[in-house]
Amino acid sequence: MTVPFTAGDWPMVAPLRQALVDAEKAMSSSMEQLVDSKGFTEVLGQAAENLVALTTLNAGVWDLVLRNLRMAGRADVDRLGQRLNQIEDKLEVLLQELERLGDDRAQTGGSA
Amino acid sequence: MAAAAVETLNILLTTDDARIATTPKDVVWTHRTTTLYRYRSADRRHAIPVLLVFALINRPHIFDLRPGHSFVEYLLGEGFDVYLLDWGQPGPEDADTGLEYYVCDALPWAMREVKRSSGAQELTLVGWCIGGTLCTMHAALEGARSPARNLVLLTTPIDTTGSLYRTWIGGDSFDVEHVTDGWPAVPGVAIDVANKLMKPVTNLWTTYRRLGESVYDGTVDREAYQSMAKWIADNPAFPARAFREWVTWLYKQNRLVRGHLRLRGRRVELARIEQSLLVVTAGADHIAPPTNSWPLLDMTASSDVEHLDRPGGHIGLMAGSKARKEVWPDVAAWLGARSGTDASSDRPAPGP
Repeated sequence: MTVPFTAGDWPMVAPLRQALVDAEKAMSSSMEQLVDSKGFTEVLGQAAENLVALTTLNAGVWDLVLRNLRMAGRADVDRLGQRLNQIEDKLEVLLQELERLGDDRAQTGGSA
Repeated sequence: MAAAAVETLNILLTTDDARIATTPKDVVWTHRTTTLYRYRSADRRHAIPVLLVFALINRPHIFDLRPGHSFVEYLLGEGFDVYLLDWGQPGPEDADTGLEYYVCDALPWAMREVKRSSGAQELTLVGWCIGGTLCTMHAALEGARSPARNLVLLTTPIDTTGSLYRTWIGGDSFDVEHVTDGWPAVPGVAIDVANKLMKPVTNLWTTYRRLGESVYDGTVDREAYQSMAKWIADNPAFPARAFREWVTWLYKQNRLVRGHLRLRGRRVELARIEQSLLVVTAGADHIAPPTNSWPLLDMTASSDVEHLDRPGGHIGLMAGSKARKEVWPDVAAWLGARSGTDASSDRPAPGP
């Protein structure tokens, strides 16, 4: 538990704070102008491409290593996940159809 | 000064211990990574349940941040039957998940489950950010056939003209195909960095400076800081196909407002929206500025349209310290007038 301080504990705190806030305001405004510029947009686009390329290369290398060790890599796990998604989609449609039939039957009070 | 520095560091390092989204809830339905929750309540006074739909960026826990500062808790207190749709944590295996899945499958299926478990025939959709856009697309596809009676859109991008995101990703310098070819699920942290770069000084410096000062002054609200920081740091990935479609259709081509958007071969027409509509915008929103939502006010067929503009940012509007007094009561009052009375409200509430 920290003992509460006040700005008066250290005489330099108040002017230092004010200086920080003033600098922040000026910096904030100019940085927001900067990020809204065409130049920054170009840099951001290229940086995103570089990042994607680096991570893709990295993932590819590790996948190759695992495959050569006869182990399942990320790509294999993803393929399995995709198949499970497809099965889950079909099951959901089937479940909804069954529930619809059940509801219809309950409404009509009929027997199968 | 040294003690304050140590405490500040302690707050930053133990942020992950903060308890968020603690209101008791039950799982009603799951599909792929999507989960539908129903919040427990013994005081349901309105006939029409509320379904909360959050964005594909960050987690929906912001609706239920912490006790005393939870929109979910507030709605429950006002007698609403509250459901939450959580899109979960998509991975690379969900790369083929497009906007069609969210708008034409997951959302209608979740609405169906809300109807089944609540016994109501209609519901209210409350969408926030991209969640609001998904709800809008659903209403614009289904029109009066949708079980949604009311539509509440919180800081929702509809017409992206003039936004900073449009500047960044709407032009040719951002090759979305390259990004989604390389990333089957666009890492949430990359999107978080982009969001922070929109106001770099505020997000990367001022937040921490203010935290340090409040610790030094002895006024720090540790729980408030940590709960929000924990929520901000939880960034699920964005499925590649949905990301490509979101960027291309909304930011590069602005299809939704131009009436050129088609999902499963059907045209998404804003003029088909007949639901009672509440559009809430935040004056200082830099992610979805108010001008991005305004066009919708004049484009629907609804005869009951209301617009609330409040001070605040994209998230602060609904989750900031002033939200409980300045925004939630207005939203709840609007909903209350359009949600009927639960005839069974004198009975104990049923389970999920």
